[in-house]
Amino acid sequence: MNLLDGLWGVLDLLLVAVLLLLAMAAVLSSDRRRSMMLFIVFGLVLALVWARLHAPDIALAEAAIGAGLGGALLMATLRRDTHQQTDQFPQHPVVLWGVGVLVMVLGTAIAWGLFSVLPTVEQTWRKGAAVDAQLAFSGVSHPVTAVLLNFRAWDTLLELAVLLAAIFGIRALGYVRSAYVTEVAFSQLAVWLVPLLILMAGYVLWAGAHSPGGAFQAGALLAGAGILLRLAGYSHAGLPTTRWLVRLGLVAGTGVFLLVGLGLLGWGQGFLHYPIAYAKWWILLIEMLATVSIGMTLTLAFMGGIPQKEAA
Amino acid sequence: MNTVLLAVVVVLALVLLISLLIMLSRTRLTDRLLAVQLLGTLGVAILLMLAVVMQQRAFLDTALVLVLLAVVVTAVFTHRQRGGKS
Amino acid sequence: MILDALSVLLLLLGLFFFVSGLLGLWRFPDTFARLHALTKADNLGLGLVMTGLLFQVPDVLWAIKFILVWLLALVASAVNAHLIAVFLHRQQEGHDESA
Repeated sequence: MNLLDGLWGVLDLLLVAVLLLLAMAAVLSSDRRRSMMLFIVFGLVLALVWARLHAPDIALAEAAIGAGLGGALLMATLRRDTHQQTDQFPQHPVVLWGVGVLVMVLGTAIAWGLFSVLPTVEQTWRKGAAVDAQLAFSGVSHPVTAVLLNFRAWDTLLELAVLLAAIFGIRALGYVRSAYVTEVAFSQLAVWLVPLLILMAGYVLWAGAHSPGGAFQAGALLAGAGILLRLAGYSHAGLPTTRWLVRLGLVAGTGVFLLVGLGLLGWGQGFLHYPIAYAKWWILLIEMLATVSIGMTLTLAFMGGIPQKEAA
Repeated sequence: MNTVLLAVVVVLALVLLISLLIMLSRTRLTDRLLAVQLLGTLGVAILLMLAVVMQQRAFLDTALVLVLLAVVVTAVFTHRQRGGKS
Repeated sequence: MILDALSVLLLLLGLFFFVSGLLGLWRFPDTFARLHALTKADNLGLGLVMTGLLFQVPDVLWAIKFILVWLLALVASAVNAHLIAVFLHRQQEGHDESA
């Protein structure tokens, strides 16, 4: 056997072993904070696996959202929760067995589904070729962005709407109550990192037109900047203090996406069928506003409510 | 040369597996945080290697994002809330 | 050829520091000592691997990005180590019982 192929095989086995070990440990751990840490590392290793599978777009998204923002949001949720509950999972045997059986049934169904999909993999490759053929008419040169914001723009619009619905729910929880103890050394360093995060967000957004990147990853980086500011003692986490400005920012992504779609419909083009000459600019506009909305949504989700006018 | 690089990646992945096992054997939160830090650095190193081996420049962006957001995660884990516990 | 040899040498050195970080994590007696061992893996391990790869990159843009990743990793690792040390210190002084 070829040495190179053998090494790839060993690497794949190692990555899969680590991934499975992490997944088991995260689920079986009895302490929530430990589960969360394992979940974050799981995100990291999953990003490596996506990279190995030649899927840099998903690797980037997983690194930004799974390994980065997901952990921060889970921790914020746990902090809110610990006042009422202990750190232990419910351990009632009936619940555990019920969940176990359910997971096994679902797992079998997924395995069966994957198995029956296998013969059609070749057709999926052909669809990839179809995307490449249409790429010139999409306004961008990166196939994944073309699919997400042009050919299948519907899906992305609905994803943004889901985020919007989530933030409505979070705002319904009321005002932000707690503040963090600030440290001078950390605040000084945060001042360094925040501009870098914002710069990186801009780069990832711009890179999305021709290489892996895009609004969700860029929004996650913006939210990272917001969370750092919040931890460094800025009670508004860098968000505007004017209320209507925050609300405008939250709905901007979904709103403009929808308006562009409806406008094109009125123009006689069909919902979200951009005219080829301007497709790039429409996509750029939508992505920019979506980035702002996603960043603000995730930051507010971390804060867990509406920022107070005069926070402590 | 690629074979040599890939061999290094395999060794790094092995170190990743062992540090995960060490992490799982520890009970204290800080020790686990340390292990997470090592795992993160190993992940970045593997990504950089894979970028060269697979000729994918996009992995460098992924590595940058991982490095930047690692600080956010550690900060969230270690910061205390005013008035509350942890 | 010489560049390749240099690459391999630097990569092996990098691996050495990663393994020593691992050993430190495994064998060192207390958490502060482990923290010390880990920062070596962070800074030198990644730094040497990065430098080793510099001789294999196709163009200058790659090289710039590699160096950028490492510089950011240095800053990030310093902040992380500081945060963990402060957290640990607080726990040992008994101000915080929650972990």
